[in-house]
Amino acid sequence: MYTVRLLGACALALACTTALASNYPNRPIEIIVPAPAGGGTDSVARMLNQYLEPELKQSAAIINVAGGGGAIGVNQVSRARPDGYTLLSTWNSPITTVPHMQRVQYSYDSLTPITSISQSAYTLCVKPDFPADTAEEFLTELQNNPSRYTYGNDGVGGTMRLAAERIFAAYDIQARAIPFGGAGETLQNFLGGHIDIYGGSIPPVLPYAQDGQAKCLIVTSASDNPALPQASGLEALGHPELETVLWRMMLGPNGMSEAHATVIADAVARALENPELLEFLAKQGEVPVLMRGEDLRAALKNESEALGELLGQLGLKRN
Amino acid sequence: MFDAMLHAFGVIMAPASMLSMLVGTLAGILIGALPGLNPVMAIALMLPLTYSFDPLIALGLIAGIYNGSMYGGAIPAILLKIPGTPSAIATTFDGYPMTRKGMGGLALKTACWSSAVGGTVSAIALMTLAPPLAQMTLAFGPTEYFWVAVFGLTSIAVLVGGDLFKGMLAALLGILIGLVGVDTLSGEERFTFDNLYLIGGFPLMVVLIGLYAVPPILEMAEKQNSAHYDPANFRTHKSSKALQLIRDYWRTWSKSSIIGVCVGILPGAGGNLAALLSYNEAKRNAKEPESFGQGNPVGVAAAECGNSADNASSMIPALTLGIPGNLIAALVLGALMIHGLQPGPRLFTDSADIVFGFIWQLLLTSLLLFVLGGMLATRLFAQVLRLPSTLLVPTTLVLMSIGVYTINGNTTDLYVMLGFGLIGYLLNRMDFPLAPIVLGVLLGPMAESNFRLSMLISQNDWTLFFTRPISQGIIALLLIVLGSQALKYYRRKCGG
Amino acid sequence: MNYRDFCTGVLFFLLGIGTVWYGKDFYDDSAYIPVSVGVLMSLFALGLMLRSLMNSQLIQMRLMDHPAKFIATLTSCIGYFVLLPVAGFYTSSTLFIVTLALLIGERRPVVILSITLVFITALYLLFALVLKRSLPVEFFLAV
Repeated sequence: MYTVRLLGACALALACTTALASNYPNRPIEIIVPAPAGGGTDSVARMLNQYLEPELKQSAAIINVAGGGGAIGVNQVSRARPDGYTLLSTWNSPITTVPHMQRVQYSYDSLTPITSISQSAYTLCVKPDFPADTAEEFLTELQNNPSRYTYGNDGVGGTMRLAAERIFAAYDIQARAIPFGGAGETLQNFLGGHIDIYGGSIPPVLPYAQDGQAKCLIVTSASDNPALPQASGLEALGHPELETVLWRMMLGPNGMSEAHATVIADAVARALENPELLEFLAKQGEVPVLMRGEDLRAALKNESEALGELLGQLGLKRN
Repeated sequence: MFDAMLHAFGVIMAPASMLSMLVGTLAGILIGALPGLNPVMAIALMLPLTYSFDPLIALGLIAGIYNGSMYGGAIPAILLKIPGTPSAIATTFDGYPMTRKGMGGLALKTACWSSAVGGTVSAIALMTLAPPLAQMTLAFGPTEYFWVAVFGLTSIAVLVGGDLFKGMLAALLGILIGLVGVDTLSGEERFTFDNLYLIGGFPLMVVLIGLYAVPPILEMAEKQNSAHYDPANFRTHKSSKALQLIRDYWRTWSKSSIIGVCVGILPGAGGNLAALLSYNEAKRNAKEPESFGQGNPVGVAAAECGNSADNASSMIPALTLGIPGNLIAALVLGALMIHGLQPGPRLFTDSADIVFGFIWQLLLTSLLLFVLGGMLATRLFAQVLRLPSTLLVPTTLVLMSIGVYTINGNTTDLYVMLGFGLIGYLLNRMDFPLAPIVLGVLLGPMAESNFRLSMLISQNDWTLFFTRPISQGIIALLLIVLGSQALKYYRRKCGG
Repeated sequence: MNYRDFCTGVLFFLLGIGTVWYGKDFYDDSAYIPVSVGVLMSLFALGLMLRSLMNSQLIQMRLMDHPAKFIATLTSCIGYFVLLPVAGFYTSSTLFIVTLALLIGERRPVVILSITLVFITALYLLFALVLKRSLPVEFFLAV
């Protein structure tokens, strides 16, 4: 009995010392990325990780847990011990879109918000011979030809499709959504002329836009994107409220201590001051955005509710 | 362009890059040879460690692991009937019967040479024909993909062997396995039974390891304890002299290389399919198709040449267009991005040294197989067979478990692997052919989703499937293959 | 009559029927292929059943060569998978190798221990030191 109590006391003491923020982190951290290795989310997470490790003075391992549109990885983090040694580095869709479509065992408020990292927009591009050269002309052309044009997107209920549908709904446009497996597949079919409009993230199509093989006319962020000068942001079109972007963040399991979250958020903020990292993000068409704690949670809540409503209107909401 | 190629050759001849190729190829053979460990996982784990190095060192390692593992996978496939990587499934069909007949040495040598030839042809295609082949990639829309999938599915007719009912049931079971999960076109959850794990579908790698690598282990566990090493198996035969090999296989090699390169440029298909289609073609075209599956060396040559010929050509859409066709291509593009390179059409001009350097590395690591493969396989890896089977069984199971676990970091995958292993074992015992299952899993969903995408794009106008020139070409090819098969059958019935 | 084929035929027939029954409610065009697969599967299964009934010679084949060893292997695997996340990778793998080797007939302790030791050390070197891939943590290291 005595030994048991002694052991208990030791365990308690151990738990207390690890809970102290002063020596956190004192062992390697696991960062779960809910996407396969090699994609955009993975590259950004790994690149950031290179600058994060020296800031934390601890090694951090990226672990790819792909599947279920990101739900499998997020789920794994939500069930992990909230000791600050299992973190999630994700983009927004698994948190704000997927829970409306599939049964998942987490929600935006059952994860501890740490910090947002960066944001990038989706873009809509057409071939050079498309009869439009500006965003307004593009939207008018689509309005005048309902159901004529096909646009590729990242899949049913993917955030990209929602971003496009929000704009199309506001302009009373009917375009035919063709769901592909990802931006690479969409690009392949767009370049091959099998679909009329590319809809997806910026990096894959960027070199083609720069070469004049694609005209990118709309970005789905409020502001314009410096990488795509021909494209208009939604502010310029007079609809900043339709902004739907791709953004990245770090979250922890529910119940992770605020002190630990602050340590990570501070380290991310310092890492994002490195010019090499900023240059890497700029090449991907991404800008750093730092939002913490309750602000981050509020942003997730707003987006989740807005997208849930839209999915309901599109008849895609399941949960 | 020629100057750029020569210059890049100078760059990769630097000692560090040479060393990385050598280490990569050796590591690749080892990874391929260990069941459960596979090149995707190895490259994904190793790549982050190279971010601080010169990009060509990382790429040299990738090229070596990729090419080396294609051959490495054949070693346990031939010696133990366990495919070391999923791409080596077709190698077991004739490789293992060869070992049973005491021709293991010849089978290993055949596999090694065929892999090296396939990899070399593929790298040369990438070096010289990348731009026109990339245009081919773009010309293939959903309609063409649908026909490619149908073409592959009809080859089940060749693979089923004697028993039509069992062959078809196996293929349908494969399609059913492939259909589980969220349907990407409608968002409908199919056969998920409200289970979170099933939403993403069964992970392909886990299914293939379970169905093809676990059953031989279970069978080995039941047998009397013995070591499988038999030196007579590795004695060089007269028929394995280099010239003789070339004379025997050059037809198979040329056809399998073309098949592998073509499968490679289509994003999403992969080495499994290249090997199976090459094997089929060799069997279909053979004078005695019955000898396939009984230890015909041509079967090993076709499968190994096909899966290696897929390698470099699968980099064509990735390097020329920025569209990754498989997981390894995605990892290569990710690595290039981290090194500050922009994947896309200007990669060849903007970073000629790196792109051409990588292509040279793919070529040289294939050639390295001629040297390393024979020596290593026969002298070193065959020693594993000296282990008593009572220890070979548990250690192999641990390797498979670690391999499956590291794919997704999920312990549920382990039970799924074992479950499919049990299914594979039982089907084996009931004389069901297992080859049609893998074609069903790979091609069923591909045919379905591309059919529906085509219908969406054409607004339900099915004439689209017959009016596009490339589709017509594939249909013609399909009819020729089926026609010749029918003719052969008819002749045999009348003649015999 | 071939009992084995008849029984598998029945199993596939049921699987086919189940597939149709479950798949018919899928949304719109996502139901076509599952339903056709189910229908075809039941038809081919019926064919197999009929053929096995007509087969006059009795075909006997054992399902397993050595049921005891087969069951031992399966149970050890399941035990291993259960233990893995709890006890950690290296601990449970060591236990698994030793147990299964004993169960399927290895009786030389030196052989078992030496091979297990070499194998686990090699894995540790590869995964912990070279690749730095984290595997399930050992129970004695977990906090």
